[in-house]
Amino acid sequence: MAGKGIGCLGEAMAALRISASKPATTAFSRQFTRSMATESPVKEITKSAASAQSIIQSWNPISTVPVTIHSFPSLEPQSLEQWSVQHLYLPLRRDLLHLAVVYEGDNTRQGTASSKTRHDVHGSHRKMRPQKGTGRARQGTRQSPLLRGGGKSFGPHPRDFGTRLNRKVYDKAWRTALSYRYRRGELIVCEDGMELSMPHDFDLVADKYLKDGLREAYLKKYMSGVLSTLGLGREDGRTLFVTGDRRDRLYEAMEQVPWDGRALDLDDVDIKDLLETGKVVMERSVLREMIEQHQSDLVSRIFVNGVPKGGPALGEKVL
Amino acid sequence: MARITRMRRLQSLQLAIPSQCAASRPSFAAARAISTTGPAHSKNTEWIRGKLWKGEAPGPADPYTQRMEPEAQSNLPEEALESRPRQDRTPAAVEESRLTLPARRTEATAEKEVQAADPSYVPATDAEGLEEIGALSTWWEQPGHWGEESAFKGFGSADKVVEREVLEVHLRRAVVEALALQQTGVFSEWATKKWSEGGSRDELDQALAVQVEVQDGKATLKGDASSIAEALTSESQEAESSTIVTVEEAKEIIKSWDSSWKNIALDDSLRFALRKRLYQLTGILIPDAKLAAANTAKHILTLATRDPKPLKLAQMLEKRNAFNDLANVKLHERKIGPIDKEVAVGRWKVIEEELKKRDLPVTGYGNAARNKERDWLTGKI
Repeated sequence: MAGKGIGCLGEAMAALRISASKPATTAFSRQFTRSMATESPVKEITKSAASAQSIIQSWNPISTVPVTIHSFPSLEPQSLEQWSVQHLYLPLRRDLLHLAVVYEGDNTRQGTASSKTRHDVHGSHRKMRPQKGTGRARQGTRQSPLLRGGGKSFGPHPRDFGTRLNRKVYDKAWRTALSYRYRRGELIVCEDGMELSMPHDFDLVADKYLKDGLREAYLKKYMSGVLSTLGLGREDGRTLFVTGDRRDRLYEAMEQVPWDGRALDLDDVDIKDLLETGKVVMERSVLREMIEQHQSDLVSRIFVNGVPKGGPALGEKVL
Repeated sequence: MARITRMRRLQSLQLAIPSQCAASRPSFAAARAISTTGPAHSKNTEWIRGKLWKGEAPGPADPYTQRMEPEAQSNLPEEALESRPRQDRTPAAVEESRLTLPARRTEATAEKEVQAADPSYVPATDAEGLEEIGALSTWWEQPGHWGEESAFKGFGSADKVVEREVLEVHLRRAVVEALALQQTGVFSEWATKKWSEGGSRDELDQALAVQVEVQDGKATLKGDASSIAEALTSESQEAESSTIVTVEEAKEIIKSWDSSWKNIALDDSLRFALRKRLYQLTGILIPDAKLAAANTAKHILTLATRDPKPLKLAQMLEKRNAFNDLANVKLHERKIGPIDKEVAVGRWKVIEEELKKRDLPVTGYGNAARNKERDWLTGKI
């Protein structure tokens, strides 16, 4: 490795010597001072970005962060709420997210793979041929793992792959995932009762007169149009819609465009889902419920004077 | 032997079972045509027909193979026989809806009628040249089927503003409008409501005509604030026309202001209103976490503008004239492939022609390496 590096260096020096024989001495001096790394005009590129970055970095909320509630599907900003930084502005902890995602993955493993050992394989245990005298290898029963149709020596058997994770860690990871989405501006909170409103002309005929895949084809085209208009489609990295329960129109439409995202109800969502897609659109009540269910590290289970030590308030309306 | 007889039995079974699962099943009439009730047997059944009908039996002797011609004469009145125009049985919902739906029933002209109308008609024997009608799943993709009625309109403007100058004009407008509402005293009521779209150029000009004076972050309007506020709060449903301010116009407009208006201090409600209005006018939705960091209008402008797409390496090198003084280095936009090499030598046209002549894909020589045989001959391998 080192020898090769020295060789390269030697070649580079040789090249320099050739170029040095050129009369342009200023060019030589410029080349000589050039660093080995590829240069890029640092100032020009990062100027505007840096100022936007510095604005964002200058903001250090102590107690609350604002959350705008939008209407759906027009995404018109409707009201403003303040949420605790403990809920929606946690620092990114990749380690927690990793623990949580692995934990979820382990616990969703089915673990039903099952193979037969030599004791489970059906058949007689008669000796297949005499021990000696045949000129062939000695052979016991036909269930031997060495034979075709025999048992499997160390095959899989049904088991629970589930691992454990401290509840407070998991809950913090959940809020970290939400915070990550919030910080990046990928969390869009909508009013309760999120449902896809369809054109009146479609509603008239949808249930009775759109047959043979016509309805599905309509929903597909309409939904992909909606998503690309709102900047939630495939080119923006797909979108996860989370609602309190199944919303027929929205879910049916999202089932037609799986490449643009998916819709899940609250019970089906876990941390990995929150991290997967480009944007997450959820109902206000869903956000509330998520935080309520996942704040064990903030809320004490010990009652003092009949009152538990509660966590920060959940979303207070400002406007 | 028992085994052979069983085989024979199986063979006869195969013959006896009609091929039900055959792909092309003969029609019922055809199936009957080869039935056992053939004309040869009909003589045997003649006597029972006679017994049943008590004399001459009506109809053909074998009703399965010999079809009776339908009676030409009918004793119905002539009006009834004439084909009446089909009643329009389209359901009310389908009529009311503006969606273009496929016809429930289509009738093609019968071959006889076509031949009568056009003596040069020849029935097609293969699919070439025939009209193609897509499946129903592609119905909405076909031209003329997806109309205005199915278009989705969100709150934000559909065409996003990218240029910084145009964005600044819109932001100025939003600031003026918010201040106008504040001055008329209805801001607290209207901060979260939907302001009238104001898609016309007049409204833009009206808002831009007003002067903004900022002192210590507090802004006052000099101009007709009440009419702006009135226009915003009125529910006017005008024809949609997104305000078109070209970049050059925007640059001109911006020159007429001093930049002090951008120092206006923002509070929660003003921030919310500006974000909402900016989304409505330009289609740019600033995320909450970024917006909260903005203290002045200038910050909002910075956060709303996207950085221009970074140059590609080739473009950047071109711009910097990096290899101009090196005679043996050439800069290309992309990787040089086999086709480019052939083009450079002037051989590609010939190769292309020959490939086309042989009906081969015109894709250069892709992964194919140069011939091994040459290496064998020269002893390289």
